[in-house]
Parts: sequence; structure tokens; C-alpha cells
Amino acid sequence: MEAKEVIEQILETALQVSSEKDRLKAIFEKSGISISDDMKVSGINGDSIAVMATLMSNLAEMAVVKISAKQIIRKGGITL
Amino acid sequence: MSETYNSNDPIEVAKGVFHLGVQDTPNSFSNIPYLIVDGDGAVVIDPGSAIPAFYEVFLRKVKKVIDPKKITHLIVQHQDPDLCAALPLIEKLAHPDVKIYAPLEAKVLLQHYGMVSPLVPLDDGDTLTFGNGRTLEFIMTPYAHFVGTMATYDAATKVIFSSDAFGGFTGDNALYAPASYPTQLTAFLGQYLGSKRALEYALKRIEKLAEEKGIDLICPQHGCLIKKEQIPTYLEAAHALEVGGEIDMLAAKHGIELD
Repeated sequence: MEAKEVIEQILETALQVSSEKDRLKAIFEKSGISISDDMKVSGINGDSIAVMATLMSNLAEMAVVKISAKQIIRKGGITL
Repeated sequence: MSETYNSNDPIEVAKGVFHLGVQDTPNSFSNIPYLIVDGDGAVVIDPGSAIPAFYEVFLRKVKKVIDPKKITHLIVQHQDPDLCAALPLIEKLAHPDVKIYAPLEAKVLLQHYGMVSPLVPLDDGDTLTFGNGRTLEFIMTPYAHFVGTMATYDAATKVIFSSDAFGGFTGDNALYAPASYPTQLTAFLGQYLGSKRALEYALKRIEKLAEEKGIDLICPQHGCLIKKEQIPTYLEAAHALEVGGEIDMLAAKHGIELD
């Protein structure tokens, strides 16, 4: 799976396990991922794998979202 | 029946079975103690966290149903603190002769929460009769996710209290599983279970119970309740779970080959 698809899936799942949309948007954007008003990935600012690694670091404050993201990254065949 | 729950009101989800759920929205991790009342007897299944904000919700809801002094039995389905760190708090308010019931392997660990009430070890097939003859059956589901993990079946209502099995990460306060729940279930169980074999045993044991005695409602410890008509969907989702993947990820990271 492409890194961009993995990031999109992480966001999609995050929105199903968490109701904290503003917090999620802030974390994704802080990590270099632009999010549209309808909560879709609209851009990745930099190398996708490096951005994903930053996202995972920043998701430490939302443990449940990070736990679900770990599984998606794993299934996507990506080792950070 | 109400379709959402709040921090104040217990919800009777089956005859004499009360959902005392505590939602932790910032962390997407609900915690659901259950109270079963029958005649003069009352049982609490997994009383929950000792964090004051959690325990206060639990106790407020109990008091809306019964005087906590009527609680004669405390059942703990495994030893994790989110399920039972409140034991030393609730035992002080419960019936003076209250007993705590848990799987044998969990009992060994539970004592370290510092309770003083007698701890009764349970094995597969053990039963507890209370109140006006209401019987609970204990069903061991080893390694799902701890060796001493069990589910509890209430024959009177055909409710199964499934512990972590069928639990999910949820950030809202939906009482019953919404359409998105397979994702929420996968996010939780896909990471917290290590063994496909253990998962399959637990699922097949629950399926066998459903065939033999019937299951009308699944009440997990986290997430949402699963109604009878939803059960096939969630059994399918649970059978499809990939578990134990954390090992594969770390093995790849460290160049370790596994069979």
C-alpha cells in the first residue's frame, strides 16, 4: 500500500474511534499533513514515510488513535 | 431503551441488568461496569477504575438503583485496573459479607489491589446463584487476553458479559453498536489480543453457548452493546481479526525470523 493511502486510512479510522476532530486535525497538520474542511487528507508536506513517522510520534497524546494507526501501518507493509 | 448513555443514569438493558458505563471521550476508552439485581441480591461485574472521576460515575449510578449495601457479590472477569481497581473502594460500601469472584489466575494478582474481602477462585463451568435463584455461569476464555480471563452468562436474560471480547475503542456514548463498530472493535482487539488460537476458542465457545442456550445481548467491558440481530456481523468481524501483529512488526524491525 502507498504511504499516502496508509495516512488516509489512519485518518479515516481515527475519525471512527475518536470524536475529537479538532484535536486530530491539529495533530495531523502539526505532522505535515494538510486536512480539508471535510476531514480528508488534502496534502502531505514532505516525504510521506518521514511525515508518517512524525505523525506517529505526535499521536502519542492520543494513545487509542496511535494503537489503531500502528495496525494500519503494519498491514500496509511499512516498517518505520 | 435509551440509545445513548450519560454520566448520571444507569440503563436497564435487560431485566435486572444495569449498564453503568463511564465514557472517557478524550481517550476513546469507555469503561462499563454492570449491576445485576435480583430480589435481595445484587452483583457487580467489573466495577471499574479507581480514578475518582470514573468511580464517582459508577457509584452515582449504583445508588440510583440500589443501596450499595445490597451488593453481595463482586465479579471480576480479569485483573486489569480499568476493570477492577475500584474493588477496594466499593467493598467498603458493599454488604459486610461481600465476596469477590475471579478466575484462579487472576485471583493471584487481584490481591495486590489491597482488598480485604474473601477472594473466591473460579474455574470453567462454575456457577453462582444469588437473589431469588438467579444463576450466573462462568465461561473461561483463556489468553483472550490474559490466561485468567472469563465471560459471564446470565441464564435468566440470555445476556453474556464478554469482558474485553467484543470491546471496541469509542469516543462517543452510543449504547448499541453503530455501523462503524467493526472498525472500532478491530482497532481495540486487533492490538490487544496476541493469539488467534485463543481468539478462535473464545469465539467458538460463545457460538456454542448461543446454539445451546441462546444469547440475546453481548455486554462487553468497553465500547458498545451488541444486540442479538447484530451478533452474526460481529462474530464475522471478530473471526476475521488479525492479532498478534505487534510481534511481526518488531521482528521485522530487528531482523528476527519467526516461523
